[in-house]
Amino acid sequence: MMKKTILFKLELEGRGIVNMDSNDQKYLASKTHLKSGSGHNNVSYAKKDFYEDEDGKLKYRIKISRDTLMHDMYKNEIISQNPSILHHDALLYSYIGSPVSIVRGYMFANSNKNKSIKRKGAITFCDAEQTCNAVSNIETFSRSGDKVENDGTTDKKDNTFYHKETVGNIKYDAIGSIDLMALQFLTCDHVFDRYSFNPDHFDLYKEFLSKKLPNFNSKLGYYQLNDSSIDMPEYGVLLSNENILFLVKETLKKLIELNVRRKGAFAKTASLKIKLVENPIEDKVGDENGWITISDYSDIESLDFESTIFYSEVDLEVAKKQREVIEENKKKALAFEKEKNEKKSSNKKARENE
Amino acid sequence: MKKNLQIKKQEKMNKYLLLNFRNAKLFRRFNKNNENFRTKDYSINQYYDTYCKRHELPSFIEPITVYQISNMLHVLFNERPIPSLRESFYKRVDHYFEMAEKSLLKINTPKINFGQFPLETMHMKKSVWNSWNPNIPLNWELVRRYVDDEEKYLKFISILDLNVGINSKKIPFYRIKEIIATLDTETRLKINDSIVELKKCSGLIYALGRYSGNGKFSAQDDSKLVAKYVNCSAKTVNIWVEKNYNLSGEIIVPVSDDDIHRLEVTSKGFANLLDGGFVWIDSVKSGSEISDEGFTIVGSISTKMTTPVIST
Repeated sequence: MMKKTILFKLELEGRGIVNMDSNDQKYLASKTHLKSGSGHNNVSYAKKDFYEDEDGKLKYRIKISRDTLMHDMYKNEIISQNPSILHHDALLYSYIGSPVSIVRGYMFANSNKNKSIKRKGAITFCDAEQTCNAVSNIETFSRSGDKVENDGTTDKKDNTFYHKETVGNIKYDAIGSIDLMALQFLTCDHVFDRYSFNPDHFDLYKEFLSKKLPNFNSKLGYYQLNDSSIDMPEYGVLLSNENILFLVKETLKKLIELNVRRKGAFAKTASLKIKLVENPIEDKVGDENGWITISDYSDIESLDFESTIFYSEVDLEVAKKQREVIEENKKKALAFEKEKNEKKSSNKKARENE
Repeated sequence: MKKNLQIKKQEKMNKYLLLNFRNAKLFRRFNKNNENFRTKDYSINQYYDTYCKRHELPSFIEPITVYQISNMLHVLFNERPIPSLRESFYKRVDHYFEMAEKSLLKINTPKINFGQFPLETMHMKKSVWNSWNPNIPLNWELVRRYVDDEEKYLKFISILDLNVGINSKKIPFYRIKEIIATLDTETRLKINDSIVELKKCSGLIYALGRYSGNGKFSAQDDSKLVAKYVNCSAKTVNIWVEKNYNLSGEIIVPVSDDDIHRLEVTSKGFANLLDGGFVWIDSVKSGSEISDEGFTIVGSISTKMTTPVIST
C-alpha cells in the first residue's frame, strides 16, 4: 500500500532549561509559584505553555519550541547561512539543492524582482512539552564585570546579580509529521506563488541534486496535482520514490540524533516512534496501534515503503494551452498596475507643482 | 452529560470530524483602534513579482476566522489553499468554505495576559535591506566583493600603490585608511578622482573620506560598502526578536460520507493553521457522541479587518 504521510512521536529527556523566553513573561509568572522573580527586571524565564485548571488557577508546562528543535536538527548542516549567497549562483544552488533545504524549506527574500525564492518545508513539528512533574524555580546568579571606577575614595564594579528559571531532570514529548507530498515535488511556478528555484538554472540545480540524492534523474516539466479541482498543471520537478525514501531516512537520522544543548542544560532524544499513514481516518496520532519504534540507525536503514504519487505529468503542449489564459490575465493585471502607478505619480507631481 | 448547544437534535446522527491543532502562531500587532503597528517586514507576491510593507496589508482582528479554517480544510482534502489577502487565479471550492462556516472552533489557549493570549518571544532574522550593523569587519575581501569586478579591483589596488607608495595589499585595509587620512589634500583628491573613473564604486570614496570642499575631507564612512543596499558584500543579517501568540485548540467539522471517503482516499491526514500550526485528525464521531460546550460557530466569527498604515 502507498504511504501518504509519516507521523512521528518524539520523547526527549534532559536536565535544566534549554529554551528561554523574554522577561515579558513576568506578569504571567507572577500568577504562578514563580513569584520571587516578578519583582525584578533581570529575569530569564523558560518557554512555557499556560493552562487554567478547573479552579481557574494558572498552571504551566515547560516547553522547547519547534524552532529550537528544528535549529538543533540542522545546526551542523547550516553553519552560516547568509543571504549574500543569493548573489552567487553556485553557492545558492548547492544550498537549495541539498537534502536539508528540500526537507526544511527556505526563503531568500530580495528586493530585486524575480529573485526571491521560497520553499515550504516538508516537516511539521509541535513544540515539545513537559510530561513529568518537575517543578521549576527562580534562582539567583551573579556575573563579574569590569572595574568602572577606582579613584582612591570610590571603588565601583560592574558586577551584576540576575535571576534565571531552573529545573532538574525533565522529560518532554513532541509530535509531528513528514509530508511526503511536499517532499515529492520541487516547484518553480510563480503562478502558484511557489517559486522555489529559477528554472533557467535547472542544469546547475540538477548537478547539485544528482550529487546529493541517490540516482536523481528527474526532469523539469508540468505536473498536475491528482484529485485537485484546479485543472492547472504546475511547473517543477517530481522526485522518485528512491529519493523520497532517502530524504525521509536522513530526516529520521536527524531526529534520533537530536541533542539540544545550552550552557548547563541539555535535552536529547530518548525515543522515536513513527507511523506510516495509508488511511488518515484509521492511522491517527492518538491511536496507540501501528507505531514503529526507531532505536538506532539500523532501524532507519531497514525502512522501506512506497510513497503515494500525488502528481502526474501533463503533456507540454496541453499545459501551455491551459496556462495561456493565466499568462494573458497576468499581463493585463500588470499593465493595469503600471497605469495605476503612473497615474499616482503624475497626480503627485501635479500636486507638488501647485 | 454532554452538552450540545449548537448541534441541533436532527443533526445528532450526522457525522463530525474532530480535529486538534497545536502551536498555531499568530504574528500581527495592532492598537486598540484596530490600526496596524508599523513594521519593517515585507510581504512578497511571487505571482506579480511585487512586494509591499506588511503594515500596508490589513489583517483579521479575530485570530482565526472562516478563511483560515476554509484554507485548512482545502489542504486537508488535498486542494490548494486560497490566499485571503492576495489575488489568485483560482477560486476556492465552495463546498469546503461552507463546511468551514458550519464548523465549530474552540481555542484552548487561555486569555490570561490582560485579556489577551500569552505572548511569546522568538528570534527572527532580519532581511538584508532591513539590517544595520555598525560593526563592520573591514578587510580586502570585503572590498573585492563590493567592487565585484576583478579588473576594477586590481586597478583600485594599483591606484593605492601609486599614491601611497607602498604595496598596499600587504597591509590590512583599515591601516590603508589610516595612512590615507594622513596624506596631503592633493594626493587624496587624486585618489578620489581615480576611483570616480572606475565608476559605480562610490562606497570606496566614502570609506577613504569624501572631499567636502575648502581643503577638508569628511570622516571616513565604511557603511556604504555593506548592508544598506542589497549588494554582493551584504552582511549576515541581524537577529531580532518578534512577539507572537501561540494557539492550541479543537475544531469540529460536519462531514458527509462522501467527504470521509475523500479523506480516506486523498488526504494526507494533517494540515497547517496560521503559521506552522499542526492540525491532525482526532476521530470521526456522530453528533450524539460529542460535546460542543465552549465552541463557537466559525461562520459567526467576525471577519472585520485592521486598518492598514499608508506609507508616505
